Amino acid sequence: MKEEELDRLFRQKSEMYRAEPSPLAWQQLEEGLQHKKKKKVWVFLSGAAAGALLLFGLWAHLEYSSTFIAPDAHISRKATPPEAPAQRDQELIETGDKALAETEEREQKINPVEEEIKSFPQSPAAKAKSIQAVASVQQKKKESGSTLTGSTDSPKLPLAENKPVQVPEPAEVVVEMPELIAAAPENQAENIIISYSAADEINRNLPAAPDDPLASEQEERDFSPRAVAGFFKKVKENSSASLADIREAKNELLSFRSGR
Amino acid sequence: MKFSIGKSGREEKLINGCKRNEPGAQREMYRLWAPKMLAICFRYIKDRSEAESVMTGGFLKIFDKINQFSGEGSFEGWMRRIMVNESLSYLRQQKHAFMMVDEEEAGREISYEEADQQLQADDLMAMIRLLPDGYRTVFNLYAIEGFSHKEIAEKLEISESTSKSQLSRARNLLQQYIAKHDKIKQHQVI
Repeated sequence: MKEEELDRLFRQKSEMYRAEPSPLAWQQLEEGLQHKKKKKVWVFLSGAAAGALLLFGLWAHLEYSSTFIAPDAHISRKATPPEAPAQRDQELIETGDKALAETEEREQKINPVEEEIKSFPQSPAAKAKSIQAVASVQQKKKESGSTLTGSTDSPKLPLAENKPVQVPEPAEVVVEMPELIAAAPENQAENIIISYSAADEINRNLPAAPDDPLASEQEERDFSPRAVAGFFKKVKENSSASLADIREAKNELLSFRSGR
Repeated sequence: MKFSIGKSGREEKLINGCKRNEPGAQREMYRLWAPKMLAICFRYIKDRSEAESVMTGGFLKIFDKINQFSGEGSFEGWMRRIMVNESLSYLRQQKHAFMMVDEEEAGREISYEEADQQLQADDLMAMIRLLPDGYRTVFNLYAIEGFSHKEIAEKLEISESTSKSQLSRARNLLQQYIAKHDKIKQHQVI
């Protein structure tokens, strides 16, 4: 027989072959079909349960997170723990940026006032008044972040721009140009310190305005080159300064300073 | 042109019933096709109870995938393919051996007509089941299912040359079985 014939023989004959399955085979099949149906139901149920759980979790999250939508005061309090100077820095930069934006419009408001002041007669009382007025103007400028840039001050005004000056009586006014100080901070600082000692006390006693966190924070910060140089000097002196020491120095720099 | 409209109509009804997971349709489908499907598994798997188990698994797969049957081509052919693949999966798990078996001397040459006349389906089925595993699988796939050596090599993860040699040896043995078969011998005596 040829190979193809053999193949054909077996192919044709086996097509006619039937094998009768035992009853067990159908039982097994039936069980399998039931099992698959159950499995499908279980899959559906577990999927539904998972979906429900997810929705519940989402709802709970929304409910829970809504309790953190707190008033501004709460947030600012939260943001100023002593062990988070980085946070304060960031906040400072943000407020500084915000303040810088406001500086422009305040400039416009202040300038007409400055013009008015200059036109006043220079009697002592008037001078004091004018100093006060200018000082308050200066303070406003300071609030708007002028200390950070040092560029918003009018060169005509002879008043200090770094200190919150609120002088109830006539006081000596010393010109203080921060750019010049950078060269010899300590010496010049000495001079200025003496003249500001009275103001110092007054300023120290002034409570921070609770309803104006922006202003109070700005007042506390002293970023004059003198202060910054002092900070670096402190760190440098202490060559083996630990992290705690550096942090302390930084905190000092960031904390309320006036005339140190 | 369809002459057996009734049959194909009935078959279509049955298929649609199975697609809807109707237990009655599934039972009927099994009743109609199980004997033929078991025959296929029987050709591949020696142990009868194992062959039945594989057939059951094959039907579960058929019912599971019936919605994928587009209606194009023969439904029987579609079922057969599933059954053959289930059988091969089983054999793969059994670590199917493709050994070479010593062959006896070739007996008398029997003609196709003679064999066709004398031997019945179950005689030939018995001969197939006598073959060693590797020979049997390759012979089934090539001679009965109609796969090429390339396709067989892919399915069984063997080389084409192994497939060819297994087939050749299977054929030789089957010729011997035919020659030695009682019905053939009886005929010879006469």
